[in-house]
Amino acid sequence: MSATVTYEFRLPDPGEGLTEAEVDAWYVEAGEEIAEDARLCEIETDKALVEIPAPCTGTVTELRADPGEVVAVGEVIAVFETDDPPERAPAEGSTPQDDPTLDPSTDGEADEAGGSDESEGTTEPGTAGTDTDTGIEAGTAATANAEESDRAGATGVGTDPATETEAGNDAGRVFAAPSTRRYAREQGVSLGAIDGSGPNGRVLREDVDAHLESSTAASAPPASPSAGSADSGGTAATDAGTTAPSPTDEGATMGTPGAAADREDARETRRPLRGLRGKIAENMVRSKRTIPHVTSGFECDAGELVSLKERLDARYDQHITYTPILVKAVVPGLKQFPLVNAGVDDESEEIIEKNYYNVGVAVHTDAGLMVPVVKNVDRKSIIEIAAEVEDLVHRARERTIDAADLRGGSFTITNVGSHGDHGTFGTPIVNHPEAAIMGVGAIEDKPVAVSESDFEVRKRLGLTLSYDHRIIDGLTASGFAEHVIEGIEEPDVLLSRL
Amino acid sequence: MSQWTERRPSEDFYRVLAPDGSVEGKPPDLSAEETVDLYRSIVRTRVFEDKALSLQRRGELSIAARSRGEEAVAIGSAAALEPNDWCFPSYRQTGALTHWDAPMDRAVAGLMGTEPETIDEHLPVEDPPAVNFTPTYVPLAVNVTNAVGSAMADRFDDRDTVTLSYIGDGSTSQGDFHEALNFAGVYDAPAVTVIQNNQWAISVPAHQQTASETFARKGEAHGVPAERVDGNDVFAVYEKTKEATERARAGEGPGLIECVTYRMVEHNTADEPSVYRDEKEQEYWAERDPLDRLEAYLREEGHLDEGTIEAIEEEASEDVDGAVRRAREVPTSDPERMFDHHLHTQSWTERHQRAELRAELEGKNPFTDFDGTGLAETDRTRTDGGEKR
Repeated sequence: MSATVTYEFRLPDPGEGLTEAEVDAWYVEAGEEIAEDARLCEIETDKALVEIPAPCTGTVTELRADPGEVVAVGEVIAVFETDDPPERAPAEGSTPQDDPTLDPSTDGEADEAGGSDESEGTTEPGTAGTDTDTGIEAGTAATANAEESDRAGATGVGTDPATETEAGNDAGRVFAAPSTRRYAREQGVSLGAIDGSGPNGRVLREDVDAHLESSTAASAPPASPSAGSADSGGTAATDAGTTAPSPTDEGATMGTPGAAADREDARETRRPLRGLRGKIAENMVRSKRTIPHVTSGFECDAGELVSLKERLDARYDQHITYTPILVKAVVPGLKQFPLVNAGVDDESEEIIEKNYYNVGVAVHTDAGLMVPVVKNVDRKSIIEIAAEVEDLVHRARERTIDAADLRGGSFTITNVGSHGDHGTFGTPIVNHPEAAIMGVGAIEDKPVAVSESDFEVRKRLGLTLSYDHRIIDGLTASGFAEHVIEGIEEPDVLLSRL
Repeated sequence: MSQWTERRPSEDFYRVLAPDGSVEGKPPDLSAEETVDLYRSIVRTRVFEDKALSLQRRGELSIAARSRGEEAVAIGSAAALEPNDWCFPSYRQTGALTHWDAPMDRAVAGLMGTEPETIDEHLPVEDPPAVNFTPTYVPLAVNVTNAVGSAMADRFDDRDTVTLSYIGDGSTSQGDFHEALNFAGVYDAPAVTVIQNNQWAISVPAHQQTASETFARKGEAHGVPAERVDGNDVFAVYEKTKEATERARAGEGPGLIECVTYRMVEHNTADEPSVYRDEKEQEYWAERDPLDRLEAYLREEGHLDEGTIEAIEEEASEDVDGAVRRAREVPTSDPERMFDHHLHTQSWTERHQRAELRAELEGKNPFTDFDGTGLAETDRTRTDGGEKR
């Protein structure tokens, strides 16, 4: 209690389950002294303007967030030098840490923030889907009003890995203030390579400079393992809110001794994961976190499908693509296998079998993925569905689609084969809270064994089905896929079931 | 801005001290020292709760609810209890605990999210309060049914203890309240129920809560004698609670007391009242503050001077700071401790939930619903209903 220590003050959750807040104003400047409970800053949450008091008496050495900046709960916003840090005893059963700056977020608060995106995030159905454009990876998309509500999504995803990293980082930890860590990272220096001159071997900013100087003197390139390895090596904690490193010009920096001069601009660039992208990320994470996914792959003959599509397209003014036919083709299967048209209510732990057939169609837009939903496809003709899909896709791309058109799906179809010539299959991510998603590959000419000694070239179509293994077993999934394939291979069978 | 209008409650109630501290009725039979103790308790409650707010705002507590401006309700009523009596408080009666010197460090540790078992190990109770306190209820109205049940047990066993419990204006709309009062009336339970009518049930104003003329009248339906008092007058609250507890102790049955007060602050730290109510209304109530009027009275009587006030405030701050310091020394609980001592014996659901939590904490799939994976062998048999799959 007597020695002065550095205390990092993290943005608390000032409400109940909030994940971020905007710093509105500071009542102190860096370098000023402040008394415990005196007002430190004002922040604005989703709910209110809230005054945050100083956590301890001491000197504010650093303010980390500018007014107007949106900060995730758990991120360091101010640094104090204090005789009396408000720190809690280590958790039960843990070894006491001698590092006075060990962050307090390893207990409840920050973890709570990280975990809360599941309960806090939007639970609108029909917001996730798959990427029609990448041809590899099915994606998850967002609602039309995603940009208005982007904040929760951005931080919910952003905070989680960061807090986990910090919490699980005790072994082999190099002690350094986060500002020093950031500085070292900017300089491309691994903290592990530096002898710290501070208390308990703490690495100080001067140590980083000294290290850089000695490396330059020896005309060696700056010791620069990539940012990625510094972050993941277990020696350096990442700043809260870190997004995936994107070492854009890492090569240039690493290879050039003189590149130190260019350090300012760019080993990596960062931007907030928010807006539609943030929403996509949030939905993806929710789906992958709550749904144990299994993906099964199938291949079927598409000769009849191609011929049907061409006949219909030629017959009607309405342009007919494969999508409306496939949307219609899954309906008998969904009726036969109700669990595929179901979902799990995570809150109440109930299985919901849906007696409506609303099929989402994943669409790539400039801003990312969206999944418009065609409602009641069992009661619509292929022509009607074709017209509706065309309209929905158009409005999704124009961003004029209603939120209602992005909700309420019971099953999703995604095109994983329309982009690129070399994709083989993808593993779509289920559009939470639905139970299954079908990825449709490209129709390709392939050799098919027609007898023990003979091949023929036929039109083949790959299908992948990802499903929620909590409620759908492999047998059910295969049963569903076989049922759908029967209809695709023999449109007469499909007709008889409609 | 406000979505609701509010109506000022009628002042047709029992009052001893006028808002300016002048004496309107007959002050209760309390010594100067006991009266100053009431004052001290209000100050200490205020200091404690303001500290709790500050700790919450800086992230040390997850949530805090204050009773600023309402302290006379809990303090005046609890002061009417005798040693060995029982008190079933909710989160708006910190003052009852403060008045009986319940350890503040344990309260802070609890607000920090520490499990009771951990608190007991690290902050054992050396000097328990003379009145028996249940843990602070967060679910509302159920404390009243529990209190009445406890009081009935006391009566059946011929104990002469009295049980006091609290409810807000909002929770009187819950069935539990009426069930509790009904039983209390039928069985002559020595249970006194205080309605802390602070005009707001989170965002619902009292006049939208009930069509009853007063909350006190709800006692009539259950044959429970009721009083309506100025809840910001600690003397009035004390006097009427004293009458009710004495009646109850004499075997004459339960009592109900509506204390008319006002929630000066947020419902709790997750609330923002300016969104739904007119904050100007506070000015009206600020003139009726319970601390101010008691202070005016005590100064007038010569029981309190500047020096004493400062000493009381200073002691309160020191005690609260010390409590926070000690609470910080208590380690955060192992999350699994939340399952300890839930039930007298273990249940399958509890073991199941424990296994799920453990899986979650270990980064594994917590969904063990279907085959019992992650449960001990004996549990798995139970999951399967004894059948092989």
